[in-house]
Amino acid sequence: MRARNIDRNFRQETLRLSIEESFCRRSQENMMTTTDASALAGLESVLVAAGRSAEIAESDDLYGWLVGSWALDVVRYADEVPPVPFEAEAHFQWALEGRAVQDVWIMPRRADRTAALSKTNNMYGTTLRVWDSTLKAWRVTWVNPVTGHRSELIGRRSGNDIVQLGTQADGMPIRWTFTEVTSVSFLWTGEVLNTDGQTWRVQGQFRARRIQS
Amino acid sequence: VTSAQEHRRQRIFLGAPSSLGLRPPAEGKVPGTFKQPAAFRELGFPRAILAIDAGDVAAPAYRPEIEAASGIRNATAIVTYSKALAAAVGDILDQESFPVVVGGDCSILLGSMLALRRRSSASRRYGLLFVDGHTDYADATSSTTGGAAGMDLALVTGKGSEVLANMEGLLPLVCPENVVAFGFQEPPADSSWSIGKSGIQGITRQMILDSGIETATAVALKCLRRDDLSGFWIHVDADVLSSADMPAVDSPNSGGLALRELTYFLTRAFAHGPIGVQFSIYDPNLDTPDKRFGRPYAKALATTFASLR
Repeated sequence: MRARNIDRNFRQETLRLSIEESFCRRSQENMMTTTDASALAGLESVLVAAGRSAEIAESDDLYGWLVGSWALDVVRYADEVPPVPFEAEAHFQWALEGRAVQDVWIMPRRADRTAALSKTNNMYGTTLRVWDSTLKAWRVTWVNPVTGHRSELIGRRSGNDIVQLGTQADGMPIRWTFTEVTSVSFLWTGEVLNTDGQTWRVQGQFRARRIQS
Repeated sequence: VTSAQEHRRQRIFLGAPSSLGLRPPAEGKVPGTFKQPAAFRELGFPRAILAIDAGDVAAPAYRPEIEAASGIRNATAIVTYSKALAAAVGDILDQESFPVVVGGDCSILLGSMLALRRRSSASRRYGLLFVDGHTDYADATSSTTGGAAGMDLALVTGKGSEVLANMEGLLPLVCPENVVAFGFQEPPADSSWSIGKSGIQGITRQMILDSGIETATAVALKCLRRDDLSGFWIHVDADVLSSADMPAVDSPNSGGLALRELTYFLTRAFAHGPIGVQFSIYDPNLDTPDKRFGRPYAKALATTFASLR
């Protein structure tokens, strides 16, 4: 297996080969190039919002403070403390007419991503946090196409923290929290409930510092 | 025991920081019951009962004036909040977990009962074990405060303002015959607070004193252990306690239960497998900064969960 058959590089390569094998190879390549460029601008203009929707009260705004870019130190991941400094990044923005806050969460950070990157400890995924006015809470969906990982949780305020509860694929409860929140930093912790039904095991932990508002 | 079985009754702590149902303690002030979830977290209650903390269902803004249409303060906001709370409680029940809702004032009962009513059918009905120092059976005309926290039992059993009693066209949220009220000070029989003719089964504070807490508890629980009920919800208002044990409430109750009596009662009630519980009306603003009364109260409540089936 070639080292490059992972992640974004793999998908781009697959897409390129697929086009080459098609009947109208050249014209389609041209069309894709044009479509990609205009689609990107078009997507950005319809996805990103300038701020929170008026439908969401300020007191219900759990995630707006995250908008901007963050450098992440991986404190713990996949039940292990990284043996050497391991950095990730995350970028947040209001989306969908201000009814959602979306992020792109990248680990390792783009500067450290290579074609030979393993799927272990590898994220290039997105979280969509959508305000549910009926539930008076945020429905949180995380998808990491690198591994196929997908999680759904419900987010609420808990004192000064944000707690998000859900279940993972095997039915075990998971808890993701934002704690130690300031305007320039936070600690994100992902846990799974142990089989004793009482204690939690930390699966992932990131310490974030703001690099751009 | 499989992990799935273990999680069938996972306890979920849900904060309901609402003071919408109470009168203002003073002009320009908001009742402090909305601080109870934070106080219980500070006291380690979620951890003590081995619960997962799901956070708070945020309440709409409190307004002191009484709404003209209903004669009830914050009626519109309470409808909104009750639906949100019902959705959150329903979500917990859908996961086959055990909701532990910490208010908030007693008007949060509307949200909990709406959650159960939404799940009800001809073959599935739920009961309510209403543990409170008062009947909370006033309506807008007989209430002296205009607060839904004095009307919550009336409203959930179908008496009172249509906008609250008939949410989503589901009147009543719980049939009076499926409710047991426990520990209340009996109002005069001819007062609108009396539940004597309502169909609600009442076990007054005086009856508990006369028969003893053991007998009274057994009678109350027997009333709800019926084949035609799919389970029952427990509402515990802190003012069911004697003001010697719990003065930090809106309406202190000098003749209420001793804390050990409430502990005994809840321990037995939890052994009967309720589907959820809520705790309301403790006001940290009325307690000492070190929570002289809230601390033993929360600790005593936590011990009762040991019997929860």
